[in-house]
Amino acid sequence: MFISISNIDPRPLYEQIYESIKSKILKGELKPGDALPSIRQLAQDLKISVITIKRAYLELEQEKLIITRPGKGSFVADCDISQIASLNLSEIEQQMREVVSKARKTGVSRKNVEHIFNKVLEEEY
Amino acid sequence: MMHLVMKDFYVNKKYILIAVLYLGFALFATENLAPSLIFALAISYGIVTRSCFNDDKDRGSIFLRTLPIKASTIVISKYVLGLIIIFMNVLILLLFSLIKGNGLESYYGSISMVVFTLSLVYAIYLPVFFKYGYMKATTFQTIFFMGIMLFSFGFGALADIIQSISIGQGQWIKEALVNFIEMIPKNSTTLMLITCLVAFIILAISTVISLKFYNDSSA
Amino acid sequence: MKDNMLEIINLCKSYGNFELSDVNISLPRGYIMGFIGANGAGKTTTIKLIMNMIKKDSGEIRVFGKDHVKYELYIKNKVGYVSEQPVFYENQTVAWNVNFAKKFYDEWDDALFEDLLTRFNIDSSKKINQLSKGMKMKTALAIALSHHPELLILDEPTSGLDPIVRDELLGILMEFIQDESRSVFFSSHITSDIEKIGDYVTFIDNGRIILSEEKDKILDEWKIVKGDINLMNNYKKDLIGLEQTRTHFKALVKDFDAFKAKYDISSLVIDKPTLDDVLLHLTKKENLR
Repeated sequence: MFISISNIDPRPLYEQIYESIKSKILKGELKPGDALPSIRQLAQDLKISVITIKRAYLELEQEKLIITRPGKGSFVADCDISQIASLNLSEIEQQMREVVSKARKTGVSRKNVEHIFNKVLEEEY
Repeated sequence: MMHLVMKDFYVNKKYILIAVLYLGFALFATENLAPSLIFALAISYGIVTRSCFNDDKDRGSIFLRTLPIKASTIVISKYVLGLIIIFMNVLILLLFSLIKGNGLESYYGSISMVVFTLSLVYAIYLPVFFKYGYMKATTFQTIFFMGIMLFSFGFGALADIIQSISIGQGQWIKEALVNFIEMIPKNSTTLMLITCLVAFIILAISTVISLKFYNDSSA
Repeated sequence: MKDNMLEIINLCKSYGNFELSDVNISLPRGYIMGFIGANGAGKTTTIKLIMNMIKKDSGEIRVFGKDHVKYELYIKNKVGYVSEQPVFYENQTVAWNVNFAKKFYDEWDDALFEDLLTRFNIDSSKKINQLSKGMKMKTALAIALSHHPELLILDEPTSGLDPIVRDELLGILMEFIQDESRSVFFSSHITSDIEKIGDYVTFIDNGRIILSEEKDKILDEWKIVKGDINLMNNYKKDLIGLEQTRTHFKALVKDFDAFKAKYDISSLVIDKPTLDDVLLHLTKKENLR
């Protein structure tokens, strides 16, 4: 299972891992019941600290995205579709927020942002 | 622990081999025991100091401290090495007596001398080594032996002076000493055993001192 | 009750000019702790004290919960130790040294050792003093791993080694820790190695522990803050290890969330710190004291 983490990304490592796994679940790449790699195995694969992975898995568990069974490992939980949908939406909102925030900080005008947004909408949909 | 002692023998293999060959040659080429004995003493002393050298200069002792070995084992192994060498010297003398067929008793003096001298020498060298390391122990040993040589020369000179100055009293002391020495049966088994016992006691005391020194030192 | 692999309590040692004072470190089972400090800060001294290669002045050291002096043999059997410059009987071969050393261990795995030798490409018929520094370290590591230790203690294992070997070593450490009953304690002044795989980090400076924390906490919650020199005084109170030039200032900030809530940060540049940054700024602060 490939997880994208980057040192240049300002987000904490555990958050990147969390987001990466979450997005796989939302996209359906990881289905309910699928086994996740063990914490230590993933730490070795990514060559990062065990505690980092533990934290990511803990967050995923708190969000009820995964279930950890003692002695057996971690598995994707049975999440319902509406929940996935709402999670999906909030993720998209967050990403949009990040982009708009960056635009604002770099001095792009609101008009320009709207212009670009519409252009993208045209092309994608 | 025996691994440590074996290690000391192994590491000094070449040295020991040459020395023993030399010794064998010296013993059987000459009738006179004395020079060979001194040579044997020198080698025996050398084997122990060389094993100390290996531990100190060859960095072996630091390696030993990282292994699961008690500090006391390290110290005792050096004394065991010494005892084995003393034992080997005695064996060689016994062998020599058998071959020459002179009867064991005449060698008691040599055996006592070897055991006592080596014990004394190890008993003094090892604590110094364990407290101060190889370099300082070597310096100490040089000074110590020079001191003994000077002392024995000086003692002889002193005795002569005493003798020549105060003939009456000096004579009396000298006679008493000679009588005393002549009283001791030179070939007695008891004497030899007592000498050996004293030698081992000296070694035992030295071991205790070495243990304390080594335990107190930092690697 | 935490199951601590290594526990150092109020450790003190004086040596002439140098003093180790009140060192406290805890390493739980199953994790890797990096021990960071400048040269001469006290890393090697601390490690040698743990191994009882030098005597402590005061304090307690427990390994596997047992006193490190009373249970020295038990501990040395279960600890794989690699010193800063590995020592052996230099004039003997690798094979001889290993045959000698393995007799002292309760558990020795010949097969594992041979396997490691092959992996590390070490010729066991070579004399120790013919080996390069990297080879010596790998030999020491092979020996350390082959008696099935539960704790690895490594003193600057990567100093003087090229990045390829360093990476190999990190891989081996991660492999080692797959078994969660084991731990690793290693010191380094190459902080990028610890940044990669460390779970906990302890910083030491001038014989004192200046920070001991989960690595992630440090890298996530602390930030490097840079800004216009004219604004510096607004933030001065919460800036650690302040660096100033003519035009800007740079400092470390602990608990950035609190800092963000307290101050206007819109004109500041915020960066994730590296462990080097943390060491630099923390030690600067110490010097100011």
